[in-house]
Amino acid sequence: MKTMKRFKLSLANDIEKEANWLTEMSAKGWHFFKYKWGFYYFKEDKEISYIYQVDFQESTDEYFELYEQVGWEHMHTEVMQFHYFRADASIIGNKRIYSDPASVKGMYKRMFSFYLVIFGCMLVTQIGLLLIWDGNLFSKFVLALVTAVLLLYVYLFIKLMQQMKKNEKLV
Amino acid sequence: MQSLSESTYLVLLALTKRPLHGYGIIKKIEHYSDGAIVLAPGTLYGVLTNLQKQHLIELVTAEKESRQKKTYQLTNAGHEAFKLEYQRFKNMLTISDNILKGAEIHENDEKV
Repeated sequence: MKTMKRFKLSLANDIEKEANWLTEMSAKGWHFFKYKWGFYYFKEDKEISYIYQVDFQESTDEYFELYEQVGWEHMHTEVMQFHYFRADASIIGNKRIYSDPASVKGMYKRMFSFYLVIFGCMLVTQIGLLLIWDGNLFSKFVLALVTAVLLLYVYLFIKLMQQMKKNEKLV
Repeated sequence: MQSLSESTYLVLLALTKRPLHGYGIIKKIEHYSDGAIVLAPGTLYGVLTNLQKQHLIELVTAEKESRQKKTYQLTNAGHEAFKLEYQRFKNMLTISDNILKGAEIHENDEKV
């Protein structure tokens, strides 16, 4: 069986787009089964087509059991809380892992809190950088790097808020 | 208290008679709605997590066919929250029926 890997970077707020991309790849016969360091791994099978979904939740045994019972196969988990599932497109029909906008909004809210904690920790650890600041090239380089990462987080927060708002309108 | 989302109400409703595990909740709602409402697993799990944080439901471990099976049951606060919401829906229906049935008889009232 042929396999291939594709490099793709994607931010947390785009998990719906990511799932759609995996579903499109599957329709072409390439089925996602593993992710590592920005690489998505696919197995080829022209006979089948899967619907992919990505969820963000704190998981337990009950969580995976529940998804399996309703037909979602767990493929991969990233950073403890991003869970990749798939189901045979001809069996699952138009069912997805969320059935109302309120719960989709809840998912983006959980994601927001999750990254806010990481963001807070990062800010605290970077105070050290300012304390040892001596204006040399290295300090400036680190500052530029840290600023870029912080800006990326701000961008992510804005996008997550937009996702929450989008799913509010649908209610 | 803030009114509950439809999915949250349905989960409380499903648990009123007896404790159920996650899949049991989905099946019960599906059965009683003649297949019209099928809660998705992500939606259900999110609701279950929220309800546990609010102490409206709790996880209980039951020994079933020699293996441990976790089921969810309503707490006293959960029963109360359900009753309040049920009453709210019932009132809305009563008001709706009163208006829908009585509209023509009292038509003149509106001109006063």
